[in-house]
Amino acid sequence: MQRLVATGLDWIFVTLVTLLMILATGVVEHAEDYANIGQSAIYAVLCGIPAYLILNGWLLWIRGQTAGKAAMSLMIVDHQTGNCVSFWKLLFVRALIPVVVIAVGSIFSLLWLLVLVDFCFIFRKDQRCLHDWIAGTRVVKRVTDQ
Amino acid sequence: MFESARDCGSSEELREVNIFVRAAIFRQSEMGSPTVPLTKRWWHSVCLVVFGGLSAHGGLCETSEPGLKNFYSSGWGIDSANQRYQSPNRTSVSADNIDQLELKWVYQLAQKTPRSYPLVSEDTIFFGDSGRGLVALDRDTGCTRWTSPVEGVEISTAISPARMPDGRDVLIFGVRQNGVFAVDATDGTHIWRYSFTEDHPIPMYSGSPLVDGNNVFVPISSMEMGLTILPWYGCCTTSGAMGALDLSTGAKKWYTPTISDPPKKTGRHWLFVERYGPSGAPVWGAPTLDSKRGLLFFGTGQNYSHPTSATSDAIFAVDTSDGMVRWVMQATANDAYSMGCSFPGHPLCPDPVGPDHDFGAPPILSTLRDGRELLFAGQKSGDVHALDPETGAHVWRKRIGRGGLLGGVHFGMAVHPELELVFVPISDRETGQEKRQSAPGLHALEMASGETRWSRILQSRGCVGCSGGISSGIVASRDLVFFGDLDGRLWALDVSTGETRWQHDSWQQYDVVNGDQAQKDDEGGRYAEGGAFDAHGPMLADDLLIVASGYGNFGQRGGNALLVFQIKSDVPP
Repeated sequence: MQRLVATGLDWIFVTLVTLLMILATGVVEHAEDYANIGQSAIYAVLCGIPAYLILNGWLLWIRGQTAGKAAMSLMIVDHQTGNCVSFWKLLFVRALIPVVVIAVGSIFSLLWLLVLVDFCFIFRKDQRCLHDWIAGTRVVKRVTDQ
Repeated sequence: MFESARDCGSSEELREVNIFVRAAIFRQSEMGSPTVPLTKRWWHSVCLVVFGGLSAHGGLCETSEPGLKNFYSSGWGIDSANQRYQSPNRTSVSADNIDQLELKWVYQLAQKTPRSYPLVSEDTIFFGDSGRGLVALDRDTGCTRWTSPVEGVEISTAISPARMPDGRDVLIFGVRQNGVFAVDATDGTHIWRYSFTEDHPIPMYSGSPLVDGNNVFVPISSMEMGLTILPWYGCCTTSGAMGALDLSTGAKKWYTPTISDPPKKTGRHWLFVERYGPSGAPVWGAPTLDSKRGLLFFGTGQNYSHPTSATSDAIFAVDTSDGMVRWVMQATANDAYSMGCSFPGHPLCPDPVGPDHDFGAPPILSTLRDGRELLFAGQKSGDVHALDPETGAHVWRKRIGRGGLLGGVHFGMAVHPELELVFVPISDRETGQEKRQSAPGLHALEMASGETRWSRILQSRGCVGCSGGISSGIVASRDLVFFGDLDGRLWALDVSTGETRWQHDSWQQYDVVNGDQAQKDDEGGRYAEGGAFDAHGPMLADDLLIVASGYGNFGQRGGNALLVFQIKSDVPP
């Protein structure tokens, strides 16, 4: 449940920052940008990448957390060692997978089901989603010194 | 290929092949178009073959070639003057036999909110079936002669018949966001497509094209109206326009924007988003041809942003040869309104906000018995204008009802030249901003003076969101005037008195003639649903009354039924 709330918070935070990016960059501000709806959708998704980094980059780098996971005191660790995971692995393997699935799914709509498949893995005993399996990670409760 | 498939008989397999071949023809012909990306065309064709071909069973005709000798309209307005009057030699439906008018067959449209207007020949009804494409249906049985798949699929206009210089019969129509199409009337093969994207970044084709000789006149509105709900959109920079194409090639002849001044930056909101103006003045309706003067008349909508222009909510007269503006009559000045105004505090709602008093209905050119010609234009304010077509000067002006956002005259009026009457359908839907008394229904005005001959106020069914108003186009005959209301009721009133002569309630489920091609509902049945009557309205041809039910774009009841009625006595035993 905590993971679900954390994921929901991440979507809300990233969407809001993406909207700010869209406003600031003006990538879909002009009539010409809507001549090709697919192209403007790609621009909007591209704004989501810096938005994700602005929001989560520092937390991922130092603590293996996204903003949503930080709010729910969760963190991502290496499945085998329990240690922190490399920032680049978190970014290019673990975070990129859902983005790729959504982007590809927007073209071939049935592939959206992969997001559900990914999500359904949470009901396994070890609660590792498909992207955790691919990245070799798991999500644990963060225990502070206090 | 297509002909041999047709000649081989009527087995189901061959019908499937027929669909396959037609899709292939579409792909082949579209590849010649320089503006359509190849990959998109390829995937579109694959989808058509896979999903369209597999579902192609019953509902197809034995003979696919339609008769093309007699057409019962030239486009949106029945005639090029947009009178929407069907003379007695073109319709036998009258007050004498209207009680024998019965439902003949119903065709299930693939999507709800039909926007097309039927074109009828001696044995075929052509209709824009959004989701499938342009379809040619047998008049007697409703079986499908051919389907011409169209990229963008939403055929939003009437269909105009034309003959090319090489003798080919073609059909011209607009697809909402994809341009104007010419297809071969014999088999639906694509000939050309044109979109005015060199002149307009996001044109929209909601007004019907008009064909005159080797010219195709194309009214152009803009997708920008819808974009104004996006608060990050830099509103607004586009202008409505009228364009002319060469019938033979689809090449542009001229393009006349309704706002000649280029948009300038006027400010910004939320720190980053820039505002522009003037903008808007879209052309929503079909143009009206004045062959004698060589003029084209059309109406414009409101501005989307400030500063406003002197050409919004106006009637234009332009030269058919080069598009030069002869005169402009602006009925409502300083009217700036956008879809953003639907949301309180929206940054793209102009300040001050205007009343949204478009001319959506095409003007009507008609001649009085004394030889005088008048141009009639209905406005969303509820005003009806009678203008001198030479100068645009007012002869009379009369306001009916309340008007406003969903009020007044929407899709179009009709005239009765012999009785010298203008029939004015009034929508006047409730929007919570009412300041005047509404008058939803039909009103008959004298052409010469604007005096009201009779008014027929229609009561709503009384349900939530219902309205007895008339938003759709209407059509008149010698002694009857036909229209559908927003509550899904189809009416025939006496032209002289406004009394009801016939009525049909379309809020029902209909059995359909599409056969296996019809889509199943949740319970596995193949039906069509009736809904609100709106958009282009009914058509009269011979002993037939044809109308699409189910336009639900503004909260009305949606549906997907193409209804064909026939006078029973004329049905062979």
